[in-house]
Amino acid sequence: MKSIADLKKLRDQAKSMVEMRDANKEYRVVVGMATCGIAAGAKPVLNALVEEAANAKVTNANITQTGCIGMCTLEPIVEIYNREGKKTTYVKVTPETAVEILHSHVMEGKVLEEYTIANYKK
Amino acid sequence: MMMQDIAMHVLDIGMNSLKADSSEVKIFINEDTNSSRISFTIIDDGRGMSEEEMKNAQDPFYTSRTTRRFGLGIPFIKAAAEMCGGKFLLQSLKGKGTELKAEFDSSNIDCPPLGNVADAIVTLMVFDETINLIYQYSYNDTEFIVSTNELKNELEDVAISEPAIQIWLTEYINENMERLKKEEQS
Repeated sequence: MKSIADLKKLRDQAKSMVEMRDANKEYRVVVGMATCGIAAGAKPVLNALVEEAANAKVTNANITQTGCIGMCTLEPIVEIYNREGKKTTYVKVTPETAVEILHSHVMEGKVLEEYTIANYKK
Repeated sequence: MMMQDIAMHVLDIGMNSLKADSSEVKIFINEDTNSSRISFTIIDDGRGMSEEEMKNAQDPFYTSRTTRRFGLGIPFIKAAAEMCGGKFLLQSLKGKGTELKAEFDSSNIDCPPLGNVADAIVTLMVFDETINLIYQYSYNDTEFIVSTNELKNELEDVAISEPAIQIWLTEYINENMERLKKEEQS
């Protein structure tokens, strides 16, 4: 049974793992989490990203959520911003493709073109 | 397209409260097996709504960008609750905050499953860690409470959104909710 006291241990582990403070992270991974995103399955996508980030010990990215991105029919949408603010938009993301995107884009620095909005075909 | 379970509604409606300039958001989930009722209540101390804004919030075709924060969420939950013999209640005071309650009859065939509430709560907590989110789950006469502030005291400068912390927290909430159910039954 977990107790709040366990958090101290986790906190210390997290401290040793966090390379820099949040503001300096290399990437910002944003999942659209408005009514449209949630109904389309954004929650399992976010979960997959968070779990994989913990498993693979990804420390160079923040995974966050935002509201409606404005293209509800293409949800779930994941946007990845680099330090310069350049944005890559991935659309119709599934938990499986989310993990691929995290590995390729965030861990290896390679944009996964086939899942981006530019390559989206109806 | 509708929400799959009650937890998804909590996530969706909770998001409204977090985006309403609130400093504290309370989420109560109540399961009562004797009266076969499941309800959730979300109370915030945010900007609140006028009578007209409340009416608009319940209209699925209301799409004015300035109050876009409502989207379809409120009509969805209203329909989901009323479809299974439940109740829906929205109260708000401009400048004071908003309270939304949805009650479901869990014996009704149309009642959605509760879903993964722990997951929804953690997602809401990390959405804006400066807001104190208080989550209280009650199962018949027993209850469990967790709050952002309580966690932050332990975490110091480590964010709840750190993946390892989020995963721990989801399990922590899940375990405690299960514990109440087991204790009741034994």
